Parts: sequence; structure tokens; C-alpha cells
Amino acid sequence: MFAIGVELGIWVLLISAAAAMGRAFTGPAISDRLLAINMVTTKLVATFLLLAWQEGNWVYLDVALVFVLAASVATVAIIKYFQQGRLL
Amino acid sequence: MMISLIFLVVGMFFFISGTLGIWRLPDPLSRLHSGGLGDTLGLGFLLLALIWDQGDWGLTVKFLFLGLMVIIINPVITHLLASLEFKGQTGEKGGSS
Repeated sequence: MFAIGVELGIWVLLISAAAAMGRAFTGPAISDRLLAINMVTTKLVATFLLLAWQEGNWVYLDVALVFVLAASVATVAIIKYFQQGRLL
Repeated sequence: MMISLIFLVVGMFFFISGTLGIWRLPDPLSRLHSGGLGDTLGLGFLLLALIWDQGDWGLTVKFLFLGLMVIIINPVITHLLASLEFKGQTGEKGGSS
């Protein structure tokens, strides 16, 4: 029962990540685009976790941890660039 | 088994509602509200479902660390985006500072 839920959840997460990526392409404001990229990151981390459950291989959990850290640092750097007009 | 499935379904509901919110809401600030809250709660419930299903202490520590990371980082990014949108510094070349 839980395996069917995980299979459906992977498809739901991939489709909603594609929808958020479409908002990142067509967003009118800069905050819309950056929020959509952040949502794609979070949905991909959730997809990594469900794939790790499905294959029974928990190395993907470490991949998800490193992915969260790198993507959050990149997003904060881009926001600081738009706030100050320059990096750092 | 059943409780973890219920947590998984609740997490998927939050992910779907967050994605629907950034397409249907009219205002950039309300879109920020929908996207940030939906993703944080969705990943939180998904981690709760996996913790309940696995029941292993080493994996539970890693899941809790990942949940702590996301529950700190995601509202920080949403708050920075809201201040960027609220102060109106959204020019093409960045703010004139």
C-alpha cells in the first residue's frame, strides 16, 4: 500500500516541479522566478527521498542533504545580488 | 503502515496546493506566501511519513537534520524575497544602492 503511494508521489512531485519551472520561465516579478526555483529544489529533494525509499538505497539521503545546502547558498547569493546591485 | 500513508498523502496535498497557489494567485506577495508555506509543510510531512515507515535511529537522525535544514532555510529565503519585493528593488540591473 505504501509502495503505491510512493510511486504516485514521485509522479506528483515531478509534475508539480515541471509546473513550478514553467512559473520560473514566465514569472512577471523577480521574486516569482526565485521562489519558483526554490520550490523546484525542494520538490527535487523530496523526489530523491522517495526514490531512495523505492530502491532501498539510502545513499540518496546524503545527496539530498548536500543538494539542499548548495542550492540554499546559491539562492541567498542571487537575492543578495539583487538587493545590493553587486555580489558580496 | 497506514499512518505513514496518511502522512504521505497530506504532504502531497501541501505540495500540490503550493504549486497551484503560485499559478492561481494574483499578487506576488500572496504567491510568496503560498509557495513558501506549501513546500516547507510538504517536505515536513514527507519526512514524518518516512520516519514512521523506517523506524531506524541512524536514518531518523539524518531525516531530522534534513528537516531542520529545510525548516530554517526555506522561511529565510521567503523572508528575503518578501523584503526584496516589498522595498521595490526589483530592477533589471539590481538596485541602484
